[in-house]
Amino acid sequence: MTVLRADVCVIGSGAGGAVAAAELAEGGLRVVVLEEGPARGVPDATGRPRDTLPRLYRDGGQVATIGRPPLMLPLGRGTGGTTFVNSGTCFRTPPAVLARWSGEHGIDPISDAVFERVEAAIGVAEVTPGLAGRNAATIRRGAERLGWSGGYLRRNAVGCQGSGVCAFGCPTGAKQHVGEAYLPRALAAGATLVTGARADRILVRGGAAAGVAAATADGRLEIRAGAVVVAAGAVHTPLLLAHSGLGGGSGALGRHLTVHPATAVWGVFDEPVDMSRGVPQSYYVDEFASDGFVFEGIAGPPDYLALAAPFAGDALRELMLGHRHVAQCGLMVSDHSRGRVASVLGRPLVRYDLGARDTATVHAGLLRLAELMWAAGARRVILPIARAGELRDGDPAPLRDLALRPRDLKLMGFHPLGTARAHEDPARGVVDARLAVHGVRGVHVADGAAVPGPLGVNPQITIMALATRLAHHLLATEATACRS
Amino acid sequence: MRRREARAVEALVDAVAAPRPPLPPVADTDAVASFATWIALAPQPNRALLHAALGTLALARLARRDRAGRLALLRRLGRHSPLAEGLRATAAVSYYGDAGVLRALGHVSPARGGTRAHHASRTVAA
Repeated sequence: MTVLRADVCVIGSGAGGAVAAAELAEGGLRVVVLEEGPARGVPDATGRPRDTLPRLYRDGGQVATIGRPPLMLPLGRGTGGTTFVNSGTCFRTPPAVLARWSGEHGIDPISDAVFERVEAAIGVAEVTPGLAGRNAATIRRGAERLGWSGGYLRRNAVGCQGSGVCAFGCPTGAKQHVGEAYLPRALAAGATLVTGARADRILVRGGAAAGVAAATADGRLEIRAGAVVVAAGAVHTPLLLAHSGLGGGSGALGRHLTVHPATAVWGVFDEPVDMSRGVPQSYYVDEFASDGFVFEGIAGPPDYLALAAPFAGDALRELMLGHRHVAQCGLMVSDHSRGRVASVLGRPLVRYDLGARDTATVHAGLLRLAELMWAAGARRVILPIARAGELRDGDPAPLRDLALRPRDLKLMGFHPLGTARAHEDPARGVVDARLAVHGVRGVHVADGAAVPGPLGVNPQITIMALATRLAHHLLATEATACRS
Repeated sequence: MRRREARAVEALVDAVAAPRPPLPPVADTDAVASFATWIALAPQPNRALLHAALGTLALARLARRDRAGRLALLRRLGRHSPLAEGLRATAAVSYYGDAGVLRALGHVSPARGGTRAHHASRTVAA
């Protein structure tokens, strides 16, 4: 068995883990980062969705929930975690969410200074209309004709060329995912990164963290450390805590899963849209955020369209031959449904059923999205519902009159959150307001698992900000304890 | 993938993608190999289900049916299992992601800036 010694062991190198590692290492602590997957970099990003999706995503891009309907749950695996393969959208935590956390969970609001620190580190800036491309312009045109609120998205890219494949790894290295922006900082400050290392147990002695046991291709590895930061993501963090006998006191571990159920609508236009060119996710519409849904333009190359569009046979061929005339916009719901994660034969099993309220919200969102496509000038609107077919001539009736059932929907869940939720009360949360696991000293969670409930926006900035704040808290209060 | 499964995959891809000039036939693409890669990289439970589904399609003599008959079979499977959508999506992306098909569609893949190295060289191998 190989033994490494550190002040802090960070499990996972995604949005939470890489940020925590860099901040802690730069603060002077000895840090070891364990990453289950391989090192990722520009050479992995071929710009070909068909070939990168099964290689860069966890389980070949085939992580799915069970329930009604089954949802695909795309997760990254490797350095940078899901930030390597996300769309790069950067929203701060909405003020209403921070207020709810404060009032209901005892979590202090994240300060502007913390957000600014994160945004500076990953180069957040608003995408320009020229770079956004014509898919975004189409969504914008529809929204503006309807008088709906929206705008160009802020993203973490520097020198972006609009390659159009953010979700399959940036082929030019412009996206400032945390493997690009934070991990090198951690390594420069002396941190050690071990790839191909699967943490299987958090070691605890005398009620306090003692380290992490992991498996590698070369055998067993043990990190001896006085503090542990778990950042394996909302699907795997609860399983690791449970396997370590930690965090189970409240009964919340593995529960309260939210995923931001999402789907898309396609519009077919007379003029070329060329959605494979430009920044895929670059324009948003938040007119209906208070109703529980937002739109984000999302696009990609033809093979991405073939994968996503609910067509087969002649209908698919005709769509593909006319792919330059297709625009796509995504719908994302701030969900009230709750799922759970459990371990079955050592693998995570994710159960999530879309409730009636969220089904109604998806229905309302799809109607609004069809309205937006008509307003933008679409000839046809293609729905993610086989039973409804497609809409023509501006007539929403086939969708409006449909008794929509969850099983009719083709959904994805992009942002798993909440399975080790933060709450000041040990009876209601897995971690406290400072992200320390209740009932044990020195074990913390810094990923989407700690985020208590849906945000209504893409969560990477929230997770990075929480990890930053956790690291600064550890440096301020526990550095001495960690070193001892 | 066994030969029988490969035949079922080729028939499935042909039915889903429905190629006709200017698009090349499935045999002139690497769609079947791509489909096999998706199966190989799937987690074990998914892999077992996919093999079972392909076995079922092969038993149903998918390759001997016309395109309409194959799609009808896929739709029937879809009434009972979400796996049908997985098969459709994988077949569609396997064909329409082929380099020759993308060229026929007029798509040019983005340029790569692949000069930046992995940071793996600075990691410690356990």
